[in-house]
Amino acid sequence: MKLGRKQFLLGTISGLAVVAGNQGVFGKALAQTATGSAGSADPVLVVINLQGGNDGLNTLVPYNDPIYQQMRPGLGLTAREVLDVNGAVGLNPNLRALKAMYDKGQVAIVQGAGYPNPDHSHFRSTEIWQTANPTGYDTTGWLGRLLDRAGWQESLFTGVAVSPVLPELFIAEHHDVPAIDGAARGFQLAIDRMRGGAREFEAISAASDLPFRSPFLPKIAEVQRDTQRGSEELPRLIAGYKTSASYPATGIGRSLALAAQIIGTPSLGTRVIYVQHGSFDTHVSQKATQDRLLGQFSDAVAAFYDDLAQHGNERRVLTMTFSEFGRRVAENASRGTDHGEASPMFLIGPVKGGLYGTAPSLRQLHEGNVAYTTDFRSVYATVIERWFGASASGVLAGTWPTLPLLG
Amino acid sequence: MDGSTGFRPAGSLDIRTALLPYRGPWTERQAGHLLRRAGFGGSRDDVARLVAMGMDHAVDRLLDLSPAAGLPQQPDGPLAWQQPMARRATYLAMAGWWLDRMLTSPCPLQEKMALFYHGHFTSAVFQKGIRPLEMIDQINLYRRMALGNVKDLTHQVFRDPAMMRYLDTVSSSAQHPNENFARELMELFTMGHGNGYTEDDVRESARAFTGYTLQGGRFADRGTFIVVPRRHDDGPKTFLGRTGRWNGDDIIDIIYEQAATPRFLASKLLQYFLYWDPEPELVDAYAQVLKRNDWHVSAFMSTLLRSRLFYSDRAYRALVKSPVEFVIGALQMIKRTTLPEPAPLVAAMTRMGQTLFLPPNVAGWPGGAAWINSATMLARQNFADAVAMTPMISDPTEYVPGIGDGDPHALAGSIVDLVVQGDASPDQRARIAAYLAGADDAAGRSGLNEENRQQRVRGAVYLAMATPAYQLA
Repeated sequence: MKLGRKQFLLGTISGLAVVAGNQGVFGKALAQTATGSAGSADPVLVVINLQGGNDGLNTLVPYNDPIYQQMRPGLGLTAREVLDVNGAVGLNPNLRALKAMYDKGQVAIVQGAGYPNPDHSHFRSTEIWQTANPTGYDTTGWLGRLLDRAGWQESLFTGVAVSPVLPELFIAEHHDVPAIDGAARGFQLAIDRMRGGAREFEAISAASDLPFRSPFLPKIAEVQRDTQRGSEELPRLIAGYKTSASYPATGIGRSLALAAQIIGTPSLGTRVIYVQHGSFDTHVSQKATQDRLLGQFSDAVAAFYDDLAQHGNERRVLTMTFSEFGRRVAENASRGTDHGEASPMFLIGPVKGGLYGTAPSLRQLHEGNVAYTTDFRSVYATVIERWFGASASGVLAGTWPTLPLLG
Repeated sequence: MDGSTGFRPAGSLDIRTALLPYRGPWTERQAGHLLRRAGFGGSRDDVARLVAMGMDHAVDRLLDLSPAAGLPQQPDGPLAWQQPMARRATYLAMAGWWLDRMLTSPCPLQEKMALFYHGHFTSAVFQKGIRPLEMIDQINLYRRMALGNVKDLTHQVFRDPAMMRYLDTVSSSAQHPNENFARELMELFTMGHGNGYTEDDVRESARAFTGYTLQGGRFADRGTFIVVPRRHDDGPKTFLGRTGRWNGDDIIDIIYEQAATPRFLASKLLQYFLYWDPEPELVDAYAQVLKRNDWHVSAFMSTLLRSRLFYSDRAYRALVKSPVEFVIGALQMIKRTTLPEPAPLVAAMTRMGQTLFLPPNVAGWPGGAAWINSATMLARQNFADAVAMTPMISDPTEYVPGIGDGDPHALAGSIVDLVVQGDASPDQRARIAAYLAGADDAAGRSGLNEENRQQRVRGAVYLAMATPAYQLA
């Protein structure tokens, strides 16, 4: 039986993992289906990477601060434009749907998140946020290390990246996380175009009776076989998910819709999902780009929580944003801003809403940048310990005070 | 995720004969293996030419880099880099330039060695202010020195503008010595981590790597190496047990006197061209080849590519194709003489885990089992599909010998020979033949006929590319 193209609800698998054990990795996921809705109450984390360095100052805006207005004669937002939060800061007007959630107590904002001796390179700073190591080079990511240690029920889909390339934060020693390109079009295993091709592909991936040996054969054969089975089976597993939530027709809309489908299929055992949005690297003509991206983010997140609520899942899914850095306080000559340092992180869903951390001071800048006041590892520790109830030991180096932003 | 253990080929090394010249059969199997390792795989005609030459002449031909002298030294076009928005077009021009050379150069070993050095003496375009032309100059340096003296190359890499920016030599001064280059020079480029140097050696050598910088200013398309004596620490330093007023070149000379250096270099070259995790006696033997031949990689490669161990069953299909090899190899197999649009190729290679000119970090690409995981396997499969199935990319009548053959079994055999040099199981062959013979086509006829032949052959080529052998070099 072959699935027609339109039965792939959203996206297809980009690849599947090999997990230790002699039962093929996909066999394990299918076996869990049979045992029912295991995991339908387990907490889930959705991480949204605002790629490129989101300008925090025009996201959570210190609109009453004269320094802000002076340094941003073109880009500065006024009291009338922003969605006021507390008389001192307000949200970018394109975050209307998110502000409505904030007013219901569903959004916690950690101000001034960053780390010491910040790096201004996209590559290095992203690596720092993803490995949670500002001073050295790790080969694993923080969520990969969490997957390795949390002791969650083994499943191929415990962690899922909804992105074309596996992000560094998911690299682990004992887990190989699938990357599912939710926003892709026409990205399918070749077999679907050929009559009977699926059967052929599965058989052709076998490594027995070959006229040569290679130390890599077992791994290749296994990964190939599971890739094909997963590409057929995952859409069937999530096909039962129905929703009337209306997602915007944007990349992040599609990604979060797929995330909701995955969360709504508890037999997959998914605990962490990664999604990305961007690029926020607004060196030139910032306003149009950032307004659009923030609006897309806000609308997609609102639809996502609407969808989750329809299925009774809105209290078990915590969403967290991060960005590799904020941007410089002073606008540049191209109506944009250059790479900066600290910026706010958003935590959405079952939180104690409000502002957390210390509002960074525009009087005490660090080389023209907003200096950090909360180390991002505190936010990670809060998620690990207070959301998942897991230990941060081995996941984060050192101990980090957690924030009281969860119930 | 340590890919370096457990992937040495099964069986045992006979060190007495490993380096002796190979005198066994010389057929498509051995020539195909040679061209996959010394190049990107080539077309069937390329392999046939090597077969006709015999092994020694084939290796001589691969070691002769003179036919590549006239190839374009840089991409056409302006290569703008200052505005972030211009960089994508510049990057694609650079990638297209190098991919085209890999696809079409008469000297594939030169491009393969340049790729090796690109992942060994690493730098990354646009990072740390590295200009496109500086990156191109660095790759051209690796091409010029591809089979040359690796110690000389190390001296030149020290002065290379891209490297100087990448590892902070540009800003290292006597007042503020920067350890980055000094450390990676030993850890990653010459001796290997923990192989006989200490933190004191790193600090002392960092003092020697001071006072070297680039002139040209913020807007120059290329920096030029200069020495600024007042920023150089010319005091006495004790480095690896030797004391003197060492400068950067002296440090490199001392490093090349250490026993660890030829072993580390030999080990990296063996892992790239022969097989994973080479045995210590083998590494020692090839370390001696480097030392005895004044660090000339030509002598190393000449010995390796003619050796019994190289053509042994243990070395055969013992490496995983890197994304670049996978992509270029497929294009060569279908006899492309011109590069398709680079943007989709770059996207595919990135999904497979490798973006040219942008190694993930200073350690380069780990390779081996790291190329095969959940995020990369489907990218490799889908790329193979695009190559086999897309009319704009390939035409089976041009590259599938025996395509007119009426017998599905014979045609399946031709396809298996073409794609994986016959490295398929009887079952795989039977399935490809059954696929060609087909149950019914869209019009309800069974069997291979003129209407369905092209499409079936394309599908069969893809199936052959889907066999595990195709992932291996």
